[in-house]
Amino acid sequence: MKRIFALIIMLVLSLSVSSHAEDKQADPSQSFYTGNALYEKRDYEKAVNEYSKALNAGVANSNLYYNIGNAYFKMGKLGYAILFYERAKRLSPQDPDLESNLTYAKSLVGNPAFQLPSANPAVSFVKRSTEDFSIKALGLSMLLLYFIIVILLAIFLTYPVAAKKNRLLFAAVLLVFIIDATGFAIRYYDELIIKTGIVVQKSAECKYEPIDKSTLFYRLQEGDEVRVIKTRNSWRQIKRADGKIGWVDSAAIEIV
Amino acid sequence: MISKNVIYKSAAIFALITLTLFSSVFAANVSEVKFEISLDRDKVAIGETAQLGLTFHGTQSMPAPDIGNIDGLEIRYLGPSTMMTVINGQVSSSVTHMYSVLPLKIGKFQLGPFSFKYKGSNYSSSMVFLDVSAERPVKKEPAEEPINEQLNLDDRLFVTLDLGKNTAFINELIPVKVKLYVYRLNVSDIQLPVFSQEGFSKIEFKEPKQYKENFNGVLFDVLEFKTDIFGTRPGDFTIGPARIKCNVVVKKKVRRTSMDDLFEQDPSARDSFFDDFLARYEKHPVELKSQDLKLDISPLPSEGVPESFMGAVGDYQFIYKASPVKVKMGDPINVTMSVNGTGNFNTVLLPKMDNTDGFRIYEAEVKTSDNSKEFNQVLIPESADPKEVPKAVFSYFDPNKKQYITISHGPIPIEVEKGKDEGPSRMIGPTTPEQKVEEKEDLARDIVYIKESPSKWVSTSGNGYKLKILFILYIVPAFLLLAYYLIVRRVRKIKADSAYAFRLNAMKAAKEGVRTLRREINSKNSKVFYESLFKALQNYLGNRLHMPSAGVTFDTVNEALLAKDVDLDIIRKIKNLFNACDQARFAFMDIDSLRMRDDLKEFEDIVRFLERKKV
Repeated sequence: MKRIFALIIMLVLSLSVSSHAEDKQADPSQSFYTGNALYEKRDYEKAVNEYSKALNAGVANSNLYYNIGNAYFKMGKLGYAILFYERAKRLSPQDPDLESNLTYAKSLVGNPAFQLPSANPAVSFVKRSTEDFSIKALGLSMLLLYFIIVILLAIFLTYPVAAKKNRLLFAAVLLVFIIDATGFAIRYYDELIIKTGIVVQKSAECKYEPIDKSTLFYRLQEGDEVRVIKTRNSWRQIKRADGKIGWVDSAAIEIV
Repeated sequence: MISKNVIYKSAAIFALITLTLFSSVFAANVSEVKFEISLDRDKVAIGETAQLGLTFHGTQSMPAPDIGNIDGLEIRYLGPSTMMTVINGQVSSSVTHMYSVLPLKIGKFQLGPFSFKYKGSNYSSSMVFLDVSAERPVKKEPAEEPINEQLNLDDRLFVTLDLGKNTAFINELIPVKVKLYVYRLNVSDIQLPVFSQEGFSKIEFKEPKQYKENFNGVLFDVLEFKTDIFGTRPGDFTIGPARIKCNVVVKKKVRRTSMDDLFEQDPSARDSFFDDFLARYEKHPVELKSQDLKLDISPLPSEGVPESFMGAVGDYQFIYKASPVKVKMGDPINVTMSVNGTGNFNTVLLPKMDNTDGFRIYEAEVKTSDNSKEFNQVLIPESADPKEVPKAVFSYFDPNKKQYITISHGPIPIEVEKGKDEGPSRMIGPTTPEQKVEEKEDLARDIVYIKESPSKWVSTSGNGYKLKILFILYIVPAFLLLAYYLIVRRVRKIKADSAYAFRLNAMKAAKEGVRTLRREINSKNSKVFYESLFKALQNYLGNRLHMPSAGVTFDTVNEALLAKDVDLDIIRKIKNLFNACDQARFAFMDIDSLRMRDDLKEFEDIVRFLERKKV
């Protein structure tokens, strides 16, 4: 038993240590503020370079991604702007400024040719219920709910009468946990297992084979969202929302 | 071998049955069933028969109703007759059950009303009367059947046009009746009647009525179309002829081929039943024309035209109401003007109201039904001055009385209170053009400005999310919970099951005893060793056999062990151990450590045996 507690304590400590370790890496905040100063001077290209220094340090945050997206937007690179807004959205899905800018940027590149197919009603419900939370928030809340469920079960084991009286409470907690866990699983799949790519060039040719002279299958427009299946040499195999799979020059697509 | 002919015949029968069933079910489902009664004549002499028809409209699957006996009449069921018509795509069907009625005595007989219950629904007809006299009616009617056989197509299928009147005023309603007569013909795809309408209002027929009618001694199926028209300008007009397009379905026999004859070598073997089904049905389109009729449309009299006359023609009543009659300034008063009666409601316009100064007036809402037209007008007093809702006047021309009639109502007294707020009155009803519309602001669009400070930094490798840690954090509480569950279960079992608790204690005592004995062998003090062995035996056997440990001796446990069918060899070993303990404890015999080891082993064997046997 003592060993188990020791293990848990070590794990918690390792989390906090890693968090502190991140904080102590090369000062990304300095790059952030310098980038902002350059942005205010309308030197957007240099602002992006400065912001990127923070990224090169291996850290990021939603505001950094947001500001980079803004700088790209001002440079007229809407594909990159959408890419960074999408990255920011994964960390801060509730940010209204972000949502506004992303929607505006998407509206400027025109309507996407294909919309992602709608999920079944249960999945849609879960997605709607959890869309305002980041994957981290979902994971932590799921863990918290899990602990509550375990504690409740332990109480019910000790006092069976309490189980009868608090059946509804337990059912409610369980239901929220299931929704949370499902939302987490969906988000985990969408964000970490499936690689989503954004077309960052004005136009990109999707070919049948990863060869320059291969037959053109279809064209993608700047800001289009695709799923990246794999990368081979300088080509990415992608799947458009309508299911059509082809090969695109990897420089044309950036993974979110 | 089945001949080709038989296959064709079978297919034809199947198709016909299917079509009949489908049309029956369809017809039954789409319309409400109506039950009507008809007599082919209302006067007969003794010895003559009349035909009674009970018609169900909207179905062809209704069985013949049992109408019972009527004193003085002999009624016999003749059979059903079905009819299906398609008019402008609307299917209607009916079945008529025919009865012959033979009077046995003179008098006036009432047939009906008949009530009939079928599949949970009740059907009731009206009644008809049959006058039976001693002599035949003066009008000599030719014998029915011979005439019928002489009828050609024009006599069996024709259209008549009937106008309610041959002179009328402008805007006066003229009833128009077009009747399609059918005698024993299958007629389908009947179109609505058409005829020239120049000088008249648009002709719109209502749903036709279907019934049977005796026409010149022949009982026809009749389809009656009715409408009303009115003249829009004066003059002599010719109405009609009314034209109806329809299809006559006739049976045409298929010519037998030489191949058919070849297969059927004996012509007498031909099946007349199948020959009927072999007959092919063909549709022949026909256009039926009625006679034309003269109609004189007169202008309305130019003398005595009231000032309030606006063209209404008919016979009307006028009702005038206002509600509420006590209002605050700016509150609405609903004024209802109803015109009821018969006539051309297209010509009835909003009655004129006298001076409406002091009121704001909105456009009247109009509701029209068959015999009434209602105008609802909202009047809003703009000040406290109005004391009455003004008088309303309605004038119309009555074509029957050939004169103009004026009806006036009101004024209706009202009380208008000054509102507390002397500001502008409330706006209700439709908005006026003067109403100020909020202008839509045209906003520019751009991105929201950058964030001024960074949010919490996270690692870009894996989004700072540690799946493995999360996995462990899930697994550990699950195991803890499982362990806790097992403990709770064991504790509850011990509490609930005393035998189980004793068994656990026995095992615990045995283990403890063995540990003590092993320790004391090395001390080579036989007395202490056997004291401990005795205690261990007492504790173990006492718990195992559910008896107080302090009182355990061989004699006390022997009985219990025998009762539980314990091996005699084990009992003997137990006895030996008790004896050895007694000798060491009370006879002060010095026993070597080898013997002590043997006795410890014996003790362990006993425990193992009893645990294995679950004694």
